[in-house]
Amino acid sequence: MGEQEILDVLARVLRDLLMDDSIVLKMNTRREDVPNWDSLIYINFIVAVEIELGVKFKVADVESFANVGEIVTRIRAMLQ
Amino acid sequence: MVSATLASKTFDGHDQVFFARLSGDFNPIHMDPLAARKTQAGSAVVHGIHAVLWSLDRLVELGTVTGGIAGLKVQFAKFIPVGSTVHLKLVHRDDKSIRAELASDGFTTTILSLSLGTPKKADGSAPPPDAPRIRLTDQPAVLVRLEETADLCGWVDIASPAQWVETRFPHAAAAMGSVRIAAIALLSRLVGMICPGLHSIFAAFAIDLIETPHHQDGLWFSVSGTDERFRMVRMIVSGAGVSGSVQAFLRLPPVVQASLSDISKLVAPTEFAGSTALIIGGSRGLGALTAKVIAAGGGRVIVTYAIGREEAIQLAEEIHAHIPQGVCDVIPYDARQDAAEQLKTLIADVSHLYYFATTPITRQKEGLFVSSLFDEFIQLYVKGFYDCCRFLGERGSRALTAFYPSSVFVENNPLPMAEYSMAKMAGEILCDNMNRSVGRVHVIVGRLPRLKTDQTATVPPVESGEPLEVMLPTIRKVQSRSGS
Repeated sequence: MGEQEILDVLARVLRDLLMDDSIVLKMNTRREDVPNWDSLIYINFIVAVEIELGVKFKVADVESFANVGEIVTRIRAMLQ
Repeated sequence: MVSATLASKTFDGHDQVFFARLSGDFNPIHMDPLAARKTQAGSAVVHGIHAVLWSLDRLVELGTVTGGIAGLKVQFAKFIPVGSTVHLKLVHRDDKSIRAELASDGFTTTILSLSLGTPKKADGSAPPPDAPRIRLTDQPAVLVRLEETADLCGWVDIASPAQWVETRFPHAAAAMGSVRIAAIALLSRLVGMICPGLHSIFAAFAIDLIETPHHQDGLWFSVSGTDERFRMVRMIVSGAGVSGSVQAFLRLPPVVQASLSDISKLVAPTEFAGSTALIIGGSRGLGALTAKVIAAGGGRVIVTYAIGREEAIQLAEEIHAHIPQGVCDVIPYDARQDAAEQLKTLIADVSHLYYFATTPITRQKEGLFVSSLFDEFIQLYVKGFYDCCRFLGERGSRALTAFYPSSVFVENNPLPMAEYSMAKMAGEILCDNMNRSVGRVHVIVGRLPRLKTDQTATVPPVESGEPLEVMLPTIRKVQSRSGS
């Protein structure tokens, strides 16, 4: 999967969780840039992405992601 | 679009009691402020489902929902402290769905999405009628390990008469049916009392309304998955005209600090003899641990509390169960109030001060820097410490050694903790100045790492150090500098 495809999946999952179709994710988007993307919803997001893409993150990864781009990069590495 | 506020409500203690009876959810995080203080919430919080049902009732009453409701999806984003006011706002509406939010103090606490239409027809996959019925009491299930939830399933009976629901939520009951409203209320009981029970956090749920309820008097649930990394539990629910899924977290239980018996094995009985330590904020956490260490070493301790009187008394009882009466006194003290006024009746000649006065340090906030929060932290961690030291230094007959617990956050500077880190840095500068001035107070500053306390409990769990391992050498260092 390419970068943009993964980004699209992440955006779709987050829109569904936050029930907000206006959300746009870019590689440099941080959690604090998206209204209501709080810690509990972040965990829900991670779990939903894992189910959607068939990947599994380590807790240390989940805690370390500084922006969406780092999540995309990690997913790409896991899918290769 | 985000509308102006459609309706507002302040949830008070009466609301808590009423909804606990209606739903059957008596979890202490909602009902017991002292117990709730030891959780991530930091104080008693509103039943999330209560806020959802109140929102539904308002949306129907105000004509925002017209026609039928086919489903409801909810995400709980933040706790709603009891006593705070929530505001209901409409975010989006079209002919298929409505999205609304509840906000408190400028933060979204709850996100609701309603699917409009008619209830689904039952698909024939009825929940097993012979599944066990969960025996319910007013005490929540105490589950600690996630695997304890893995095979849980059964029927949960609706907790209260239909009239209660119809009286409290008449508009929502008229639109969705009182049995379905009772079933939604029952989700609170499911999470708060059964699975995961006592140590739960309700995260989200999504339900479809079903046209022909198979069972009117209860809700069947079954755990469909768990995730050990995040201590997350997923359940499916069905019955009473609804069908869907629920997501919750199993919190770590409140931190229990080392017992006096354990500490006594590490501390010589006369190690701190002759010292009298005033421990501000000593009713729990690191303060309580410090009190036990010094008492175990033969020192006298005066423990202060701002809120936790019962905890402070329990601590004194634990100390006096091992050590002769009189080594531990308990006094009230609010570090935000005048130190001299509160300590003027103190008879003991204090040789050491441990300043653990604190307040919830992880806050919901908007923006990088909130000046009111910074002011609050400065008042507590800088002015409060200085005033206390100054009073004790001027009043006592011997020099005072004080311990100032700073934080590694001063070095790490985590983005959401800016105000706290800045206040602790200011405290360190104050301590340095106090040590450079000619005075009778010497301050020892310790930048404490993240330690296991109620303040640092998070979902998911973050690795934290053992408090005794860090505090024992620190206390020895402070105590070794005796007043003269």
